[in-house]
Parts: sequence; structure tokens; C-alpha cells
Amino acid sequence: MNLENTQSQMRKGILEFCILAIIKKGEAYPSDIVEEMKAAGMQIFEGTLYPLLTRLKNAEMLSYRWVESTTGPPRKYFCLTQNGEAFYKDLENTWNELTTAVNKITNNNTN
Amino acid sequence: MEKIININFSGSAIAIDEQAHDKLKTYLASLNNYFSNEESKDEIISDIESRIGELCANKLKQGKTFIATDDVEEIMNLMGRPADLGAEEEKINSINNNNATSSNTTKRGKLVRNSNDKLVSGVASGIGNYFNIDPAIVRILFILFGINGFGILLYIIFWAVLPANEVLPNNIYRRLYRNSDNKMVAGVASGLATYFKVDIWIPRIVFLSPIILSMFFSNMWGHGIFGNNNFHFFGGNFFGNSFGSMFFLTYFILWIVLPEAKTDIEKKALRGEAMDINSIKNNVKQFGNTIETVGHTIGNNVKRFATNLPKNKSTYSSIGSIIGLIIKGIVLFIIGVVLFSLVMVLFSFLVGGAATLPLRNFILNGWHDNFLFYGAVIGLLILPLISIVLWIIKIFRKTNTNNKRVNTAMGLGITVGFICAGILGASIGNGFKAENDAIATVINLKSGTNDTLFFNTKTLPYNYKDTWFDINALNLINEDSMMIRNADIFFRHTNDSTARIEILKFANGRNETAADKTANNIAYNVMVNNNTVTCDEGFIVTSQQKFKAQEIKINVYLPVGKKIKFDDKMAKLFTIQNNNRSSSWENNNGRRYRNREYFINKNNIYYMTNDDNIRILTPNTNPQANTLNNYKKQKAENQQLNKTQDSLEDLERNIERKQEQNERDLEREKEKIQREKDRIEREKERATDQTYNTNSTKLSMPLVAILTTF
Repeated sequence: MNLENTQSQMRKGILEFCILAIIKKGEAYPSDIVEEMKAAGMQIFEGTLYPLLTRLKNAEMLSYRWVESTTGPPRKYFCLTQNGEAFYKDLENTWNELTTAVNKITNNNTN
Repeated sequence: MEKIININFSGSAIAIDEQAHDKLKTYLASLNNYFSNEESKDEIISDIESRIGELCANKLKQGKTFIATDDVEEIMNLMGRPADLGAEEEKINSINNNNATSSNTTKRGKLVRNSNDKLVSGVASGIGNYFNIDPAIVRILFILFGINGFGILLYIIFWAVLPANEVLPNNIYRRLYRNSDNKMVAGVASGLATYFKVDIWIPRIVFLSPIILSMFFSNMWGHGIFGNNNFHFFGGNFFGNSFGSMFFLTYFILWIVLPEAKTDIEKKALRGEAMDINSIKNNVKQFGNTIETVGHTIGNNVKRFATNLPKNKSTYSSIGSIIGLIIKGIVLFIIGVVLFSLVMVLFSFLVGGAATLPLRNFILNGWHDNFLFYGAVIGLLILPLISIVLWIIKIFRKTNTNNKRVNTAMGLGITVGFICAGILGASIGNGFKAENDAIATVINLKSGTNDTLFFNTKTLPYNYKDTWFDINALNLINEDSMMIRNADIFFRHTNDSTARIEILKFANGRNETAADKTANNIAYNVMVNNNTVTCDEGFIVTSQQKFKAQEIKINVYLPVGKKIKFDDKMAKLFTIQNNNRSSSWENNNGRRYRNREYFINKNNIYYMTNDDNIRILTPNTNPQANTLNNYKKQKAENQQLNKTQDSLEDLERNIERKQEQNERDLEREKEKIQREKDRIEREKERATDQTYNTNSTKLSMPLVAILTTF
């Protein structure tokens, strides 16, 4: 078993959940998402973020609008669609179940 | 001192130094490559580009005058390099696609026309990029195939089918460019020198060799550039010979095909500095993967096509895929052909080697020669063949088990093969080092001057059954003996009427004594019996005697006018030499010649001439015609003949004249008669006219009376 593999496997499942959670709070620009995740202690490259956003957008979880920028090209701001809201709810439920389950198990271990 | 360039990067003008620009370009290319399997690749890339553009614009806004390499470095750290992304992205991919067998190979771009680096339409460059090979190679291939039209057709198909796209240079670690740093004409030679890491003068000499050669050779014959005439720089001597024009053509093709190395990265690629062991390995691996992906895509396309066809009514999309399929098929076919022919070439060497195996009995001397021979065969033929087969298997099975020990053993074996071949060559060459002076045997001919001399061939009792191969005039070989049939016959005229035949035996050897001994051992006989000369068809060399370039020359000295006839086998097996001295450079032995050969026909009778030739005797030719007396006689006869002919012509002219006279007389006579006839006719008419005239006067009288009454 490769430690790195397992770690990234753990991370990748929650990556989309985190992104959706951030966008749920309000329209977001990708670099802002990265900033927020970094601030929370989740390392992510913008290069990883863009394909994820595009995939979510293609799955109609997200929509975006163009916002003119004073520096450089216009920016894409992402927000959740109705589908995205529902998807997020499901994920949130799963996450809660998971965390309680995992907590229980790990607590049992440490006890 | 860095050059700053202004670029338009996704909508904003950005000042960037050249090195940083190159770096950015390579980075984007790598991302492009990385995301190539992504469904909305273009969108992702354009998002990323916008973001990079924004970051750059921010930098410039913060007071930077231009984007430098470390800025690009910073951006790359923020965005993530393909390797960084791979760690996260890979697993996400595998989950999303439910695809457990995701490979960790570098992803490949789509096959497109590369509008970034194009000469015509970017087809060659796109293909080169797709397969990670130097576009120059693709271009040269197109030009080569273009000569017969096939390449042009293929190119047009590619042009029509492939979409144009900007592909950034990726993964090509070495590329052949024209080097403008050190150029004389277009930098082709300089580029080649840099690429192959040789001194600049070597490719130049190669390209100039036709000029140099033609200068030397034409000069040797007295009319070169330093002589006086006939040196046409763009004419016969130079462009006319295909050798010279080939070099010129090569230069021009390379000039057209190769781009000039302008940026630092391009210069590095030319010098091969970007290349290391890892990238070589990657390239080889990627080439293997390419073949596999092509195979997969074809497989998938076929599958898709098969499943879609019955269901989908709209066949428009499948027409596209059919064309794509055909093209991919062609590409795969070409790759297959190249690999196949590579194997076949080596294999044919092996087979060819086996076919000449019996020859070695006659050339190899002793166990050490045999040992070296097998060493060379194994090292230079069998091992490379095995390693190529292994390599191909490895590519198709994609196993990357690089067995170092096997590789080392292969390399060692091939090196040993080279050494063996070298020593063997030297050893064999040594055995041929010296040649003997001719060993001559003379047989006098007792043949009457008017008799015809017959040359017959004696067939040797030789076991033809298990001969390996029979090259006419050369050898018949089996395990322990070979027949050499290389006898040449030279005819020379002799003034003292002692007609004779001289048989010269030659051989090579380690030294002159050895060569002499070998020559002495040649069992070649010529039997003379009155008017027949019977020559052996050849001589037999046993495997103990070895092949030492044994050779037989037969000089036949005959008086001028002597008639000669050959039998059928003689005409076929022997080369009868023409002793045209003006174009020969023979030594005293008469061993080396640069002559024309005669084609002998058994049906003709030949005769000896005074210029050491034999000519066909026709009913009209007088065998003695070449002597001076005969010539005079002939001339006198001719003159006599001419005279009689002249008088005959005079006579004819007289007759003609007489005939004409007669005809004229006849004509005159006829005219006379005619005139007489006319006169009689006219007299008759006059007689009748008179009666008419009297009538008319009678009639006119009342008429006049009527007229006057009015």
C-alpha cells in the first residue's frame, strides 16, 4: 500500500464537496476558492481546480457568469444551480454520516 | 542581457523576457498535453490561460516592468505542474471514469494540423508532434513519397481531415534546425554539424564533394576547370551526374524542410542539451504507447462504428470516423511496414549469410578464422536481430522491465562481433596481400594459314548435384570444391608466323612465394590438336587449396587474317577481350585491363586483325583485307570498277539523249501531218462559204430596199 495514494484517495472524495461548500456561500472566483481552501489547510493547485469546476459545470451542478476585470481578462464567477444545491445536500448528509462513523471507529481505537 | 518581447496573452498585452516566454510556452504545452484526454480540454486550458494572464497583468501592475523567469516559476507553482496535478488528478480520473486500469503515462495530444509551426499547412508538424518525432523527418518522408504523387495525396487528405490547432512544442528534446550562427549558405551544414556533434567542415565537404570530385576528375582527363573547356558549373559535369544532383537536392530539401533555430530553446534542442537519459527513455516509451493508443483508437472506432451503425440513422458522424479510421489505419500500416522491413533486412542478412556459408570453406583459413567468423555472425547479425525482436515485443506488451544485464550482454556481444569482424577482415585481407608474377605456359600452333582455328570447351567432370548456387562465369560451389570459370582470352596479332597460345596463371597470397605456389597448383589445361584448341571450362579449387583469387588469362597470338570459330559454351563462358590499347592501362603481365569485352556468337567466323582484335568474317570481307597490299589491290579494283561504272553512265546518257531526239522528231512529224490536215479542212470550208456568200447577197437586196423605204 502506498501512503500517498491512500492520502490522495481520501482527499479527492471531499475535494468536490469542499468546492461546492465554498461556492454555496456565494458566487466565487476560482482563485478565491483556492485561497479559502489553503487558509483552511487544504492544499490544492489551481490546475486541479479548473478541470473539477468544468466537470461540475458540465454536469449542471454549477453555472457561471462573466465579470469584467480591471486587471487582465474577464473572470468567471461560479455559483450553484438547483441541481448543485441538491447534490450538495446529498454530499453533506453522506459527509455527516461518514464523520460520525469514522469518529466512532477511531475513538474506539484510541480508547 | 535578455530580450523583452510583448505578447498578447488571452486578451492582455504582456511584456515578458524571451526565456520566460519559452518557459511559459513549454508549460502550457505540457498542460495541453496533460489535459488532452479531458472532455472540455479547450475550456479548461482557456480558463487557465486567462488566469495566468491575470496573474501576469497583476505582476505588471505591481510595478514590474516585465515578466521574468522566476515570475513564471511562481505562476507554475500556483497552478501546479502536470506532475503535481497527476498525483491528485490521476485518482479522481480513475474514480470518475470507473476505470481501474488508468495508466500513469503521459497523455497525448490530438492529431491536428499544427498552425504554430508550419511550412504549408502544419500537417507534418502536427504529425511529428503527435508521435513525438522531429517534424523534419515527417517532412522529408512527405517529400520522398511526394515524388510519386502518393505523398501529395496523403498530405491533401491530412490537410482536409485534420483540424488546425495551435500545438505548442512538447517533448521533442532533439530537433534538427538550420543553424544561423555559423552559416555559409543557409545554415544546413552548420545545423547538421551541431546536431550530430561533428566539426562543421564534415557536412560541408560532403555537400561540396560532387563539385570537388568533378573538378578533380575532369581535370585529370585534361579538360577540367584548370584545363580549358567542358567544366560547366550547372551543366553536364555537375548537375548532369546524378550523384552530384543528389547532394544538391538533399541540401535544398533540408533548406526547405528545416526551420531556423531562433530561440534559446530551439538552439538547445538542436544541440541536444535538453536531452538526458530519462527523456530518451520517455521518448521510447511514448513511441510504444503511441502505437498502442493508435491500436486502441482503431479498435474503439471499429467497435463504435459497428455498434452505432445499425442504431443511428445519421451517418454523418460515422463518415467522419470512417475517414479518421482510414487515416489511422494508414499511419499504423506505415509504422508496421517500417518495423517489418527493419526485421526483414536483418533476417535477409542472416539468410544471405547462410547461403554464402559454403563459401567460407574456401576463404577461412584454420580454426581461428572460423572462430572469428562465427563471432562476427553472432555479434553483428543474430544479436541485433534478437534485440530488435525483443524491443518490438516490449513495445507491444508495454512491459518496462529493462533488464540491464541483458542489455549489457547484448552490447558486449555486438562489440565482440565488431572486433571479430575487424580481425577476420584483416586476416583475410592479409591472405590476399601479395600477387604473383604470371606463370606462363606456351603451346605452339601448327595450323595452316588458310585453315580455320576452332576453339572448343572441355566440360569438367564436376558434381553438379548438390551445388549451392551457380553464378555464371563465377563459381559452382559445393561443400569441398568450387569451380572458377573466369578465364579471359586475349587475341594478339603476330608478325613472325609462329602462332602460339600462352596460358598465364595468377593468384594472391600472404606473400609472393605463397601466391606463386597457389598459382602453380591451378589445374587448368589447354589441349591443341592441329586446328582445334580445347580449353577447360574452368578449374577446380578445393577447400584445402582455398580461394586466393586464382585467375587464368589466355593470350592467343595469331597471324593477321587467321580465321577463328568458337563453340557454344566458349561463347557463353569466356570473355573475349578487346585489346584497345588507347583505353587500357595494362602492366607487363597483361593482368589488369580496362577493356571492352566481345560478345561471341558460335555461328560467326571471326578473323584476326592487325590491331589485336577479332572481327566477324562476312561473305563480303576479305580476311586479308587488313594488309597494305590487299588494301592497294582493293583500291585499284575499286578504281577500275569506278571507271567502268563511269563509262556505263556515259552510255546511258547517250541513249537517253538519242531517245529524246527521236521523240522530238516524231513530234515534229506529227505536227506536220496535223498542219496538212488543217489546211485541207480550211480549203473545204472556204469552198462552202462561197456558195453561202452568194445566197446572202440575194437575200439582202430586198432587206435593204425595205430599210430604205422607212
